[in-house]
Amino acid sequence: MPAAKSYVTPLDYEKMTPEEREWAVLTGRADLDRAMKEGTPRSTTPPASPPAQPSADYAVVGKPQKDLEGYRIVTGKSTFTVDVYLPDMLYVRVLRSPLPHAKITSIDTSKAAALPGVYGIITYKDIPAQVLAGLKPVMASEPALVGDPIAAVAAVDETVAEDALNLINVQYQQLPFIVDPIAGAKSGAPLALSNLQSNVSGPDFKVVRGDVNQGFASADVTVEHTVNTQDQQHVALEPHIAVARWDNDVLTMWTSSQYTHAIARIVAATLGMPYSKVRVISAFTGGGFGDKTAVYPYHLVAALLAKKTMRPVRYELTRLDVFYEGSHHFQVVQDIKLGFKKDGTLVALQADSTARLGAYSRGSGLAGDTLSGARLEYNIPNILLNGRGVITNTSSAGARRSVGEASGMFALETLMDVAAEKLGMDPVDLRLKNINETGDPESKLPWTSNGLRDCITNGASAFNWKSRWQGWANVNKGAGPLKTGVGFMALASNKGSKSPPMTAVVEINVDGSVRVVQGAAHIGGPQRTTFAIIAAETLGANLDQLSVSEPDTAFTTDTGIVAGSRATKSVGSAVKAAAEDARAQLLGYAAAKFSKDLSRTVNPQDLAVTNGQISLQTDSSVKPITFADAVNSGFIIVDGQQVPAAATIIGRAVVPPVTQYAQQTYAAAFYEVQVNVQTGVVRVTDAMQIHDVGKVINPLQLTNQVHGGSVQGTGFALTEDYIYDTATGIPVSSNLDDYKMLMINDVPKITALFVESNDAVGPFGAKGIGEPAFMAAAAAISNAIYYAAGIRLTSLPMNPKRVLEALKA
Amino acid sequence: MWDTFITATSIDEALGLLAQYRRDARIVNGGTDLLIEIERKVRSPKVVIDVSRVPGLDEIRFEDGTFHLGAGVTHNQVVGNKLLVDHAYPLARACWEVGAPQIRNRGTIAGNLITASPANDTITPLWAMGAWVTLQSKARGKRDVSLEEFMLGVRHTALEPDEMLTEISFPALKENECGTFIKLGLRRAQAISVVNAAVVLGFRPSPLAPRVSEIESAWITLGSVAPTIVAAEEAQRFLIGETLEDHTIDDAARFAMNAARPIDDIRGTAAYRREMVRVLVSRALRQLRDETERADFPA
Amino acid sequence: MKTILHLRVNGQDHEVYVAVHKTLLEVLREDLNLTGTKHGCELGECGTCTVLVDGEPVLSCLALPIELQGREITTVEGLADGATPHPLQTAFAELGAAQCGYCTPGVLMASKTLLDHNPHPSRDEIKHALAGNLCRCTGYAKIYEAVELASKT
Repeated sequence: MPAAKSYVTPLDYEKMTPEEREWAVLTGRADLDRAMKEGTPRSTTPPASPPAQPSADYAVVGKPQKDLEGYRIVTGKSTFTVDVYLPDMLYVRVLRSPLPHAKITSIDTSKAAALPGVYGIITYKDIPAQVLAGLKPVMASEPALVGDPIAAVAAVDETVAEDALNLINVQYQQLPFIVDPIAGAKSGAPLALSNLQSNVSGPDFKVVRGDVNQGFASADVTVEHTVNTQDQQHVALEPHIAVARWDNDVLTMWTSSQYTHAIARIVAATLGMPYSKVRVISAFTGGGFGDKTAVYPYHLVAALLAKKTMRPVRYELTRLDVFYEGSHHFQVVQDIKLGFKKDGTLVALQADSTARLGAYSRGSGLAGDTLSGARLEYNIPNILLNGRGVITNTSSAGARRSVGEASGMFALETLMDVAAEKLGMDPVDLRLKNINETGDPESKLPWTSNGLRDCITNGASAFNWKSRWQGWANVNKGAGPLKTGVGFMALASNKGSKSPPMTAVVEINVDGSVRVVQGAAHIGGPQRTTFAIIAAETLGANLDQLSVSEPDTAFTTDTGIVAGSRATKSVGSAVKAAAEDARAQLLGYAAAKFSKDLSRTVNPQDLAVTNGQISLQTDSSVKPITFADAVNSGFIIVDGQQVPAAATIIGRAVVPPVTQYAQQTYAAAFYEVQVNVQTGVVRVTDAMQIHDVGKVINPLQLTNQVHGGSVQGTGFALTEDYIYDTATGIPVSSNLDDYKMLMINDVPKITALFVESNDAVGPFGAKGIGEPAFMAAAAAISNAIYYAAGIRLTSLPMNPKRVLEALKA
Repeated sequence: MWDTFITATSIDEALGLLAQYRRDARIVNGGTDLLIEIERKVRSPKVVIDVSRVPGLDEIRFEDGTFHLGAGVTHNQVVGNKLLVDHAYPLARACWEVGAPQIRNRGTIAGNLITASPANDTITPLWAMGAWVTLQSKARGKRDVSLEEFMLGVRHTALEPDEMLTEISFPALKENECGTFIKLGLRRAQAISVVNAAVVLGFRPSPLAPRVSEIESAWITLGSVAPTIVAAEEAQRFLIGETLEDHTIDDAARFAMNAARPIDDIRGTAAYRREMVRVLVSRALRQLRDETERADFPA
Repeated sequence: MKTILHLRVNGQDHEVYVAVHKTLLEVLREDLNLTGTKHGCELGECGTCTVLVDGEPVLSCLALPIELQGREITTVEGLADGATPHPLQTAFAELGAAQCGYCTPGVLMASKTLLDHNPHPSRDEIKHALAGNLCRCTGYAKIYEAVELASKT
């Protein structure tokens, strides 16, 4: 590990918004901050790398398992929030600002209120100042983006509510607005909100390691470029929705969410209620990709209108509402520069990142996340990183499948390709030469595992890289209008690893069946099945003994968020620990029963559990017993004594965060593209991703995650673009016609391969996958386009217009 | 939102209702376009007149070398009609290229014309084949209007408030004629293109291989490059008397660019669209010369 | 204005009293409690709301039920034969071709039409039949495999 002294901007939690704090946890910034504040260990020797977990052959883990919920889904019986219709329910529609920045000078809802079928209307006048969704106004008095909510109507049906919106008279005083983050960061730029001093939000994220000037001075080869990546919307297919009902002073809310407990906590705090009196339910969530992690205005609109009307209220956002109110993968402009020795050794990195925050996101954390991979993927003795967030009159930036890392990796890994050519090296060899295999140079903590080298070498061999990539002399060598080329990228991600504290419960019932009580969303992972596998393996149970609870804050523990690719690793850790607790109790019961039946002392450690049978290891002639036999024995051994016990076993776990190691996931990607040099249309014709997942828990579903991630990543690279008209501040691709996502026609063969690094801390050695699968695409595609057609594209998406412009340049 | 829905069982009944309600009324047949227009807040009729039960509106007739499509004929019906595939290939191709079967199945050709978006794919080939529409009203009876006269601008047609589009007609391609339709979208399956082009050529009868002799007639129409469909007249004139050599094709494609008056929008810049006109027209002409325009069309 | 509609859905006759402007999607979900069919976009771009009318795929968000009286409407709830899942349902569940599952009912219905017309489709034919169905989770690979598996049973 480099011995150079490092500086990282410390976090000031007092000044951060709740959302910023959440990002800090999800993106590993909190871990880094804690480690930096605790200081480097006094010992001069760095902490030893943790041992890998044994690579065992498991009974359930690692075998393909179908989703336990599969048949419910295919028969149309899985209950998404959109399927919640309550008796006497009202429907909501929301009037939204047509202007990017304005002050409401008057608002008249009297005509709308008089419309038959209208039962409640709220505007900013009805909302106490402290009631905000994060920093977003529930109803705006100073709308700061096109689509900010102005008035909400609850009516007998959506048509009446919609008609009522047309009767609301709003007068606006138009204010200056800003869409472009670079322009917005300049002094004298129009302020996105009138209470701001500057559009630049908070102190920059800054990392200093070594001496970057000295580093570049010592470099033989220097490369740099500026990269501009776009706003994207997640387009989870289930639109955002909240259904609220009050029973006296208890609020029940159904919502399509990635984290019910956080919604309950924040709604309670916002409305000044006890957390215990807000119940949030999210049985099935129709996609999220990061967009369903926070509290939005719509949650509070439903709650407040339900309270005002004392009737259940349902607000299902239209697709246009989702584009406006949902969060966005944010535009980032990055300047990045790398210095190398002749032999390809990296000696210096300088990067500057400006993130467009939209109107209601804050801080430099999002920009900082774009710089994370560059800081950690390779050994670089001298670096200087700067990141800032700029507040603009656009939809708010937020978590979207990798937060900022996909943009950061695009900037870094395309520049690595440029460098490889300049150095005359195979891009694969250049990566292999520089991998940081030890740990975080700033926190000085060792990795829990690092399988990047295997990802790259296994992938290069499986993709047949050596024969498909024929050296830098063969760039743009194809004839005819269709040019084919291959490209490669490696990546390191702080996602898929983070493990804030979380809890889980595993119950063994009197009939021997097992219930995992957890609150993580079913969002397609499929998470519930993953937890069943982990619990079954830990207990020695059969998978068909297992059931897994649906997220309902009234009945489940806070299992943590399903985001940041962390469900398997962190929720899985809690489930595993709870299952271990349950197993210990089960063996206590079993030992008591064996002792009684055999009239001799049998200790729990003499027992083994496999396939739902508990057997005496020391004597194979004794007939094994079932979980039910053990639980119903009515006794348990405590300190060697048989004591009567209640029947149902409840195993619990509260798992602390990992503080002694740094955690990363890794991947390599190889893509082949075909570039039509007449039309500029790029098609991906072959794709391969190789992921260090630590340990494969469920190969069937893991492969799915890679396919889906690759397709979304290809959309990020080629088609998806949330565009604002800079003259009017109006978003122009806010429907599924103009916001282009890949359909089945556009998808190539995608190969998913896995490296098992047997992570030191994950359950059975597992790490996450969701976000790395998305990140492992854009840079490889760009590099392949270069190899095919000789053009370097540094703005995303690489759509036909840009490709053709580059070809003509 | 409308509050009156009337199911007409004959054209006369529908025309009577149109005469009565005029601008407040909207004909529907499937509802696809209407519901999209309401969602996009383009139109908000008070009275909806359903003609899906009117007998005969979904018929395709072929008489004296001319096709007549009832107002209820869907994209799928066109794709599934062998006569149309054989003798009106540009239209069949455009219908097939509407990627989603759900839209092909319900969406009507008449609906495309009435919606009058220059990006609607079926208008371009109909224009190239010299199509006309029959408009009918209670007061004035029937009138035939060419597409040039019918399509007045973006979402703007010559249809009077009391009129109904009852039929679309166009001559079948003759023995010596061939044609095709090509579109460029940002994604393979989508209803709306960045640019689309239809080409119909007539060759002087030749005892040699077909399509090697001089061109007698040429129709090149372009979609999504102007407020309505445009014909590339300069390119059409240029092609008359020529044979399809490589350089002729390149020149014709460049002339076609001159007809395009595209705008910058989210799907493409004006410059990009103009360039795509050249690429698509040249590709279409080459396919026609090489007789490969049906290569990837399902038999 | 409200009207009485006679709709035949999944082989059963229904009489519902609904506002005339309601879409088929709304009537199925709100009046017939058949919530398996989902809302995705309102503009006919995502295919999530696909149902079958006389065996052909239709976007229920862009269809007027008042026009569909007397036609045979099939939703995902009508796909199984009693308690026996349709081969497509079995294949999607067994292969994990449904992830979050929100697009799945629409994909299943479009696939059913394909297999009814063409019991052993090629990949290109599957592609063409499902070209109007957006899926944000799977990347479509398992959807191909599931339709192929179902075509073999």
